[in-house]
Order: sequence, then C-alpha cells, then structure tokens
Amino acid sequence: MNDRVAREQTGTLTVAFAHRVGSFELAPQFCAGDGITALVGASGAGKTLTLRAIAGLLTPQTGHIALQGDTLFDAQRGVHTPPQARRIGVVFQQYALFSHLTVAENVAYGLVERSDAERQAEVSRWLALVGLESYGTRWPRELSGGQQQRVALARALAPAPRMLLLDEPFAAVDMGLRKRLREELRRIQRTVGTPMLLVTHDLDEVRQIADHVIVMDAGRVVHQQPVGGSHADLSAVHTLLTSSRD
Amino acid sequence: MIGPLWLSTWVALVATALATLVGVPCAWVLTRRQFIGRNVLSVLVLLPLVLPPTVLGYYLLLLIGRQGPVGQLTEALGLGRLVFTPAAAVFAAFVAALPFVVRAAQAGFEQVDAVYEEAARTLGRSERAIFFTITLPLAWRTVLAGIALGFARAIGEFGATLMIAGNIPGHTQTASLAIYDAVQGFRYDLAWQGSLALSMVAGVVLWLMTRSRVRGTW
Repeated sequence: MNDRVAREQTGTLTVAFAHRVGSFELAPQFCAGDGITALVGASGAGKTLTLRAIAGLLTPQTGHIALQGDTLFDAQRGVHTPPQARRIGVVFQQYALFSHLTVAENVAYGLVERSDAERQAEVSRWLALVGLESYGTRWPRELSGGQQQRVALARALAPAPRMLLLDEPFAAVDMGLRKRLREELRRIQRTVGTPMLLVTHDLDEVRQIADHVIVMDAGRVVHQQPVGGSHADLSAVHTLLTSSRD
Repeated sequence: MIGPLWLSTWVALVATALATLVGVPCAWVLTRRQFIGRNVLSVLVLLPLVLPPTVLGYYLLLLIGRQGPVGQLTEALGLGRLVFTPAAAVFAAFVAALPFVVRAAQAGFEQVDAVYEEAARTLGRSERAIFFTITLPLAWRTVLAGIALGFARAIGEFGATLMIAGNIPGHTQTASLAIYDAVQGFRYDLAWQGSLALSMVAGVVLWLMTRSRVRGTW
C-alpha cells in the first residue's frame, strides 16, 4: 500500500475509474511512471478499454484519470478533457494508418501550427528515428507490417505527446520480427524519454522491454511489480495469467 | 430543345450542389451522432424516394405556395413568389436528389472505420479538420456516386416540377417537360433530341458509378 502511495506522488499517470458495460465492470486502479509499463492480462480483462479511457476515447461512469498532475477525467467534477487536448499518443492494434495519405503525410498529420519547413524537418527526424527515412513518399499499403507499425509509432510520437499508449503493437507482425521491433521500441523509448503504457499478453515481451508490469483480471488490477530485465522473477505474473485463463 | 436542355442542366446542377451541401452533413450526423429526432430526420430525407411524384409535388406546393411557410418567408424577404419560377424547379429537383446523396454518403461514412477518426483525435486535430481530411476523403468515392445519381435524378425530375414550377415554355419548361409536350404535339424529332441528350447524361452517370466501384450499394 505504501508503495502505491509513493508511486502516486512520482508517477506520471494515475488511473482510478469504474465503468460498467452489461455485467462486466471495468475498475482499474494503478499508477504508471517513467519508462515502459506493460499492462498484461488475458483477453477480455479490460486492457484495451482502459487504454481507451486514458486516451479519452471512452468516458467512464465514475472515477478520475490524471497525467502529470493534470486532471484529464473526473466524473464528480464533470471534467472530461477531449482526446485532442490530452496530448496522449496512441498506437492502435491495427495501426490505423490513413490509407489515402503518404507515409510522410501520416507522420505530419498531428503536426499542426507549424511552418512547412518545420513540419518537413520533424517528419524527416521521426522517420529517421524509426529507420524509414527513404519511405516518406510511399503509401501505407506498400509497406510490410513491421514498417507500418513503425510509421504508426513515428506518427504518434511526432506531436511530442506526454505519454504514449500502445495496444498490442506487435500482434500483427510475425514472431521473428517481433523480437527486433521490441528492441527497437525500447531503444526509441530511451531516446525520446516519453513514458509508454503497453498492452500485451505476452510475458516474453514484458521481460524484454518493460520496466514495470501491471496485471489485470476481470476488469481489475490484481498485481503489479517492477521488471528488472530478462532474468526478472515474473512467476507471480505468470501464475495470475495462467489461472485467469481457466 | 436547346432552351429546355439548358434550363434542365443548370437547374440540375444547382439542385445537386444544394443536395450535396445539405445531404452530406445530414448523412454525417445520421451516421456519427445520436440525437432526439434522428429517426424523424432519416425518414423525412428518404421520403421523396418512396412518395408518388404527384403527392410529393402537392406537399411541396403546400410548402412553397403563397400560404405555405416557405412561400410566406420568401414574400416577406422581398424575393417574391416561388411557385411557377425556375427556383421552384430547382427546389423540386433538390428534394428529389437529396435522398440519393444522403443514402450514398451514409453508406460511405459507415464504411470508414471509426478508428481512423479516433487516431486523428489523439493526434490533436479538430472534429472539423477530421471530417475534411479523413472521413470525407475515405468515403469520397461512395459520396461521389450518390451525387452523380442525385444529378441524374434531378435532371430528369418531372412530376413535382410540373406541379410547383409549371410547364411554361422559355421560363420553367425543363427538358423532361419539353419531351412530354413534344410527344403530345407529335413532334417526335424534338422528343428524340431531348431523349438522346438525357440518355447521354444517364450514360455518363453510369460510367461514373462503375468507376467508383459502388454498384453493389444500390
């Protein structure tokens, strides 16, 4: 409990809300700090809905959500900051790249109120960071799954969000590529410093890139712990994940 | 036949432009927003599709006639009467074209997965910007097909036009009405001219429809 209070003070994101959909009650309570936080749980645990609420794409019935001391949602006070004003980036599961815009136009989409030159420089910088500097004029459909994922990442990071949410970003790429993309994501996180909250149900992924792990089951947070690299003891997480599948 | 064809062309163009300006936002509201009266709006917009043309014409006459609300409004604004003017022909064609534009635009907007608009929102763009840069471009082919169909319907409007705009040669006589008159007067050469011209318009519309690959929608 003391640990949670301490994290609430330093953590960048605090989440405590409840939302009922039919007989399912989503009521996650957690804080997420710097680095990469993995949100794990079996499918149907409420991970994606939690991300949607943080991004402002879902309005919970009660509770509050705050980022860096800034209240984004508070049911009691009637605060609901629209997604546009939250400055939270999202990488969607299927990337949601705009098929009628080129790769460069996709990355530039969130860069408003900037001169053309500034925008172009920013786009080049982000495309270089994800290793796609020569792909600006291509169309999303011409890219492989892994490349599309990196465009989505560059697009979400370009407007300098305060936090980045990733919904199973590696689900649509094959196993071999996954490991490489994870390492790349970790490298990018270290470079830009943006805190990331990543939804996954893969423990290898947690070991490989997460600094902290939060386990959800049936709409609630049931466990959280730090992850200290590839040798971290995640047996508690493992037990929870396997038991909830029964 | 040149005069009536010319009149029909600009009446249909203005009517289609109006139907687009009204119908596209209308379709967006119907697909993306929940509000009281949504079903009423949906039914009102589609009504011209199923009403007999003379019934539709009669209702429009009640609406824009001297005693009707729209008629009184235009008189009060100093625009004079609407009935039996080319403006009434535009109005009839507009009402006839509207359901085609709305239905196609609705289908188009429904095809656009909401996740694209959500992604745009998280990137900080306004709802207005999202509509013009994401929703409309992604739905454009289907919307365009609806506009083309609406134009075809507008340029061929007959029943309601006859009732509210009349059949005044050189003033409100559109090509459809002129063809009818020509046949009544055994002027088959004129009837042929008008029919061929309107058939060509129909052909161009069908060609546009095939190009936009939405034939299955209708």
